Amino acid sequence: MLNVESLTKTFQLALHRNITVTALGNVSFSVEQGTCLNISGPSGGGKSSLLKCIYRSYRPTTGRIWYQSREYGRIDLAGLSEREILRLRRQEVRMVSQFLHVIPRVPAIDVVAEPLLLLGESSSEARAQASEWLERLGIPSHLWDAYPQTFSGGEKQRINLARALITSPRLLLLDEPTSALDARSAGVVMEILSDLKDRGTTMLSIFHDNRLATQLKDSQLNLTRPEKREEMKPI
Amino acid sequence: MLRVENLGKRYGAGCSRCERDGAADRRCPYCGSVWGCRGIDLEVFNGEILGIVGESGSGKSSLLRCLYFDEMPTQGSARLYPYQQGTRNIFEASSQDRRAIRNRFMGMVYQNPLMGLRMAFSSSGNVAEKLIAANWFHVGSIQKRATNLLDVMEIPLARIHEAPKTFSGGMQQRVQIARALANHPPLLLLDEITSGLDLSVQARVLDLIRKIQREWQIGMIVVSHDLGVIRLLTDRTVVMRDGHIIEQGLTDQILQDPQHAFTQMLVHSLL
Repeated sequence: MLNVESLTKTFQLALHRNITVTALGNVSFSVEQGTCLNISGPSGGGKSSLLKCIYRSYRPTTGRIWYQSREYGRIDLAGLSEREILRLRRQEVRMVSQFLHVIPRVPAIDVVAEPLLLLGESSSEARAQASEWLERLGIPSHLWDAYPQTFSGGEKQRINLARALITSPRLLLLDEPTSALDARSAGVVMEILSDLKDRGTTMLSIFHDNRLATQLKDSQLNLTRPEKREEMKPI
Repeated sequence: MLRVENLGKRYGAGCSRCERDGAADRRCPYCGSVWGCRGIDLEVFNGEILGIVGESGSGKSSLLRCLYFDEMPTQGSARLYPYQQGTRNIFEASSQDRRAIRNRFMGMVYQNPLMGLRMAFSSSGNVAEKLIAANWFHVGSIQKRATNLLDVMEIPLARIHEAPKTFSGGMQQRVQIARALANHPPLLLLDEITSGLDLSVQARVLDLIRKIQREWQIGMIVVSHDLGVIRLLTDRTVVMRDGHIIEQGLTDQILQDPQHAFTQMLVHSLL
């Protein structure tokens, strides 16, 4: 399903004497369909960078990311055109981060329904599905018409999850999706995620909490800090 | 849907030297003419929002004005798919065709409502004018469409016969959007539409634009110096500086993994 071959990512900080920072050094792994790979490592070890490279928020420096897509067949995400990436993001690859960036003063239910509208779903159907997800994730119904900016951290995180899950993605990238949730809500989320996994969604996850990671993961990738993180480049 | 190639706009007559030396300098030291923008290549797809960012004077508005024929470019071509299936450069079209392209296939919202609206006409008249230009003849349907659009833009129906000069800045901007959308254009050009609006109106305008894009599936170019607006609205972004495109990519790529030194500075200055 997903096959990453010697992926590296370096950043060039032009504002800081052109220092090169290596975030990912030569990472290779593969994930089967319907399984979950958990990524662990020290902070600054490149866990988020890896997910962002796969989602193409970062441009990978070298390496290949082979992905078996429904739309285009087997493709290299590292070399895909922007248009195709946008299409994949709408249809099958979703990322859940810790942060929620949405247009201010849009009700939570519409925020969640938006990805379905972009896929051409009717607005009543999208809203119906959105309310189903909000209910499953335990957002009280009197908050559905409120603006997510006013929500607590945990509620925002669940809105973020709902937005990603509503399109039933084939590949789900989870960057600490439960960091702000209490134990009970985290349990609900984990149940939903393992249900999705059983139905064939492939996942890459980062969890701070080892117990949660164990519940979901089928395999494990340990990232260590790349050696030679910083080097000065002669100007 | 729109493909722009090597577009350039020079202000001033130009001379043999700046023709010959090409892109060496933005301002020609011999004749004093200045390139507003130069060597612009970009594409806009159906139903996609493209953002253009850059500091003031980087050529963003020059580019947009060329695309809307407010100015004729010095060089380059642009192909718009609805016009002859994109086989002809729209800058080479006759003036009659250019007017038709502008009226049928494009809508423009200026930063300054004074440029986009006739301040002394009624608001519905402003929308109707664009409809008449796009060959609508039936008065009843023109009225209906104008009222409907202004209603969507949340202009109180009791006030649609008033002139925009009596409106607040935010309302004027919304009348402008209604006017730009009147003929259901496949391409919408938006120039700094949220600057000068207070935050609450800004949020409403952003939501409206997002909704229009989603429901109508039209292509848009959004010029803004506000990276927050770019992040919320656009799918892809182009960064301009000194009249050139220095970087382009997916919007989250530009914001999270900027390559060019100027883009890095811009992103790091984000509040």
